Amino acid sequence: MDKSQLLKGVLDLAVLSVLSKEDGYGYDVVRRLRAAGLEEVGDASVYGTLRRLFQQGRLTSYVVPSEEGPHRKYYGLNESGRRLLADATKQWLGFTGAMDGLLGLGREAA
Amino acid sequence: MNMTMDSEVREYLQAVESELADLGEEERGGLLEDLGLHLREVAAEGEGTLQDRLGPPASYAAELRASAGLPAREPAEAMGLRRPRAATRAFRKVADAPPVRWARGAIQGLTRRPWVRRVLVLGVVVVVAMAAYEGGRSSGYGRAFGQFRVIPPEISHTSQSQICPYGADGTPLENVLLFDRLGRPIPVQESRSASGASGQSNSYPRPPVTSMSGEVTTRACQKLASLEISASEAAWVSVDAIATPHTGSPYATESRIFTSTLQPGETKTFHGPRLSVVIGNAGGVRLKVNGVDAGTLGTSGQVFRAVYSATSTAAMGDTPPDGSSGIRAPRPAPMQPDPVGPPQ
Repeated sequence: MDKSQLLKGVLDLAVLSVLSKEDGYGYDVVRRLRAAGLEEVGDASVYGTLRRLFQQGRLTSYVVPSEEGPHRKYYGLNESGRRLLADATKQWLGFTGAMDGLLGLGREAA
Repeated sequence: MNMTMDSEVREYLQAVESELADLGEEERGGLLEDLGLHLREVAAEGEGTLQDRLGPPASYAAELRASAGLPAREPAEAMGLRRPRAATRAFRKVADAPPVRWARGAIQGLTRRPWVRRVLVLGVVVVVAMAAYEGGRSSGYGRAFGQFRVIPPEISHTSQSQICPYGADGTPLENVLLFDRLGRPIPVQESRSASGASGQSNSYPRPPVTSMSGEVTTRACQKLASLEISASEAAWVSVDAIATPHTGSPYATESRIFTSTLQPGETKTFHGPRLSVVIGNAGGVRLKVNGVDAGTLGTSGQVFRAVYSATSTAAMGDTPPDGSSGIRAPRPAPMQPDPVGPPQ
């Protein structure tokens, strides 16, 4: 199955989720996504997604000055981004619930 | 950092940059902002060349554009098939003239369809050429394209324009007259609502609003929150002004008004209808919110976040929407990957 297609659909949600735990800069977000198990996520896709979410008003961004080298641009969620994360998570649960049912995977009672 | 790594990064960067050459400068700059730094980090990990790790620059650029929601590069340009001949060369010369370039930038933001863009640019070129010809003739400069009369875009001031002037201490200014550089009056929102109040404002007609009770009042400008931050230790501080959404827009805009590290002994004061502040060293600063001392709101190295409006009491500020208190707990340890799959 083409995993890259699956990933494209949920990259926004994954990025929002990573940023909801802690603000991050581009490569930091890439590393965290890969550490979480999304090994095939592409650097460029994450950077482009961060930029797009920022343009859509979902993220704040700020530059952190650093003694050792160039400044880093950090992104974080704003109110709108948090709302989007909540909505998209609901959507995800609905969708995966339906798929689990189709595939005959019972959801274990929590 | 050794020379070969530096030149590899530079080459890759330039290659990606050229793949994005068809984009406007602002779009391209935004996309490339962190790229150089990112490439150096990847290269420094030393696990193969940049091409091995990230793929060829062309595919990186394509992936970047796609995920940023931008259209793909037009194939003719990508293959470099444009061969300028005499006529096209002359067209290019006009097309690069300042007013036309400005128009091109504006048009680029309007539409993604290349043929619409070209028609619009052609239209602008024709208009500018005609204007230049006329201007040249009347001033005796001949047919040189050197003289353009560019009419700056109209600043659209409708009666709904609500400019709220404040002094540096945050108090609303009354009887303010504002003009733009060309001498056109800019309507200023009256800061007091009282039907019949005159006040010296050059906004005409006065923008009245009928309230629910049918009373006609002018919409008042908001009172400003004031936030004074005094540092006793070095503390990184950022302050944003949060604006309410435009009608029809679902989200508020946040505008960065300050980012810096305050040194011990420094004090800075900020004003705004709604201020969002992040402090990297809560223990190293004292806050004064709307004139009231709030003290030190955390420990050394703790990150503090809050949003304040003119009616905020000190310490807590407005409650962030996730329901937590205004003070964020220390950051959790770096995220551990969740175990996947059924327990063994």
